[in-house]
Amino acid sequence: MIDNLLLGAATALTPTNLLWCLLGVVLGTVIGLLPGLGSSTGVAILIPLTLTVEPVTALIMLAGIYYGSQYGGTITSVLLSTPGEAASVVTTLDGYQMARQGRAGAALAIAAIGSFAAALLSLLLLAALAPPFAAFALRFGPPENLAVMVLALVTMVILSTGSKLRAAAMACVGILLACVGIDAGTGEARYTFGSINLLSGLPYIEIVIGLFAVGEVLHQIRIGAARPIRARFRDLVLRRRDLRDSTGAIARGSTIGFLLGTLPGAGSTLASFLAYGLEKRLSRNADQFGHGAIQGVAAPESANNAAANANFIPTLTLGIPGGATTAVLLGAITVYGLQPGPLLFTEQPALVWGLLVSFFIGNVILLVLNLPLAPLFAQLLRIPYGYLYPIILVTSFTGAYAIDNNTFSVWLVFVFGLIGYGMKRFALPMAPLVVGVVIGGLFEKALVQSSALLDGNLWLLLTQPIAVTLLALAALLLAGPPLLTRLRTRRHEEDNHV
Amino acid sequence: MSTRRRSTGPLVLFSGLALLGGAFATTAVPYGVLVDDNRIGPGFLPLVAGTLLAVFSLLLLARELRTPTAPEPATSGEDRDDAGRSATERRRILRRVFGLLLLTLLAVPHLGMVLSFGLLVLVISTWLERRRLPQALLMSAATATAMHLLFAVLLDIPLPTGVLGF
Repeated sequence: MIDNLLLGAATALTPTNLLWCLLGVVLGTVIGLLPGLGSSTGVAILIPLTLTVEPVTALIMLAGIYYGSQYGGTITSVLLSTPGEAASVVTTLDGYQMARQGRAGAALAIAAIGSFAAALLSLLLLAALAPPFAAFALRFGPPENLAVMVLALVTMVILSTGSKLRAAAMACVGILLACVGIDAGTGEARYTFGSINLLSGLPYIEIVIGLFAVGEVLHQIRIGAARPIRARFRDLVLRRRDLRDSTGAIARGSTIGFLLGTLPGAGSTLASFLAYGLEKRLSRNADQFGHGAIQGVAAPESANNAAANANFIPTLTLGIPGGATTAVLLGAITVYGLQPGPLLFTEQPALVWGLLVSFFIGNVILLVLNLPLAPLFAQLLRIPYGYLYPIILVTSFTGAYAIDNNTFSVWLVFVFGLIGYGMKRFALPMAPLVVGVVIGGLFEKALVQSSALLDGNLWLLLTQPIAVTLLALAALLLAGPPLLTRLRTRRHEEDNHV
Repeated sequence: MSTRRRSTGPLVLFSGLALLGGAFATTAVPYGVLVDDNRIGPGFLPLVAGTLLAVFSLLLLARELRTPTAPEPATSGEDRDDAGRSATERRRILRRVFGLLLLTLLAVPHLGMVLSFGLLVLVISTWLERRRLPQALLMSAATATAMHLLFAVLLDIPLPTGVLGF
C-alpha cells in the first residue's frame, strides 16, 4: 500500500499535474457555484480541452472538477438555498438557516473541513481496499459482470431520492438508447434508420452535455434567478463548540458516505441524506435540525465527499460507474483509449495511484483555497445569469463538436438538451438514464456472453456463487424496503388495535 | 378564484414514454430475440427494456390519473425573479432561446461555427437580455474570439467554416 501511495505521489506531485489539479478544483468550485452547471456538466464539457494532455493529467483535472464542484455546490446551498449539486440538496436545510442567522461563513468552513476529513479517510480506505477489490474482480467472468450490472441498475433505482418508478423508467430509456447502433454480437444495425452516424451508437458524452448543460440552461431560464445571501470573511471563524459538535458528525458522515459510495450505481446523493437522517436521530438536539444545526451541514458534506471518492472503486475496478459524474469520467477514460476494469490497476498503476493521490492533494488545495476565499467565490453568484447562459451554450455546443469533429454531435446535444429540459420540467431523474446509456452496451455484451457460456440457459447464473450473491443482494434491495414498510404498517395497525 | 384543472403535461409524457417502450419492444422482435441454441439475440435487450419502459410508464400514467387535481394558481405573472421577470416573460425568453439555438445550428454550415455562435450571443444579449449594443457587441466578439483561440488555435480543432472563411 505504501509503495502504491508513493508511486501515486510521484505521479500526482509533478508540477504539470499539480497545476492541472489546481485548475480542476478551481474550475470545479466555479462550476459547482454557477447555476446551470454541475459536476457532470463540467466534466462533460471540459473533456475536449483535455484531449491534448496525458490521460493521467486529464483525469486528475476532471476528478478535481468533480470534487471541486461539490464544494461549489455547497456555497450555493448555503447562500442561496439552491443546491448546485443533487448531493448538496440536504445541506440547504441547515446551511441556509445558518446563513440567515449570519453564520454563512461557519457553515462554509465546516463544510470545507468535513469534506477534507472525509477525503483523507476515504483516500486511506481507497488505498487499502481498491487493490484487493481489483484482484477479486479479476475472477469475474461474463456472468459475474452481468450480476454486478444488475446490482448497479437496481441500486441506482432503489437508492434514487425521488420516485423509484420514474428512476426505473429512465434507466430503461438509457438502456434502450444504448441499443442504438451495430449489435456487437451479430453485427446487425439496430434503430439506425439508415444513418451512418448512428452505426457506432449514440455517443454518451454528447448525450450528457445535452441533458445536463443545455437542458439545465433552459430549465434555469424558465425558473429565473434568486438573490444570494452575502457571506463575510469575518464569519468564517469557527467557534470551539462548532468543532466539538461537528467531529462525530464528520466521522459518521464520512463512514456512511464511503460505504454507500462503494456500491456500483449508488452515487453520493443518498449518502448525504442518510448521514443527515442518522445525525438527526442521534442528536440530543434533534429539534435544532432544519433550524441551523451545524451537524446538519457537517454530516452530509462529509458523506457526499467520501461517497464521491469511494465511487471510484466500482468505476476503476469494475468499469461500472458509481453515479452520473463517474459515468461521464468513465466515458473520458475510454476517450483516452484506456479500458476501465480490474486490469487497469496492474497495467496502469501510475495512472490509478496518481489519480487516487490527487484526490487528497486536490482536497488540500480546496481547503486552503476555500477556507479564506469562500466569500470571494461567493461573489460569482452575483453575476447575472443573462451573462452566463450564452457562454455555457457556446461552450457546450463547441465542446461537443470538438469530441468527434462532427456536426452530428452538435445536433445530438440540441435534441438531448430539449429532452433534458423536459426531464427537469417533469422531475424525471437523469442519473439512471446516463448510467443506463453508459452500461447498456456492457450489459448486453455480458448478457450475450453469459448466454453463450451457459448454453442459452440463463437460470444457470444461479449456480455461479459470486453472481448469485450479487443477484441476491439486488433482490434484497428490491424487496427489502416494501417488505419493511408492510411490516411496519402491520405492526402499527396491531398497536392501534390493542 | 382558483380553478381545478389536471395538467396534461405528465399525461402526454407518460403516454409518450409508454408508446416509445412499446415501439422499441415491437420492433425488437424482427432483430431476433433468441438465436441458435436459445442464445440471446440482438432483439432481446430492446424487447425486455422496451416492455419494462412501457409497463413503468403505464403505472406512472395510472398514478397520475389517480392523483387528485391541484387547484390552479390564481395568477401566473406574479412570480418575479431577481431580474424582475415574470413567469410569462421567462417562458417567452425560453421559447426564443430554443428558436435561436435551432437557427444557429442551421446557420453553422453557411456562416461557420464561430460566426454563428458569435451572432447567437449578440442576439441573446440585445434582444432577450436588453443590453446596449456596444456592450453586447463586446461580449459577442469576446466569446467568438475565445472560442476560436481555444478550440481552433490551442486545441487545433477544425471548426466548421462558412462563406467568410472562418
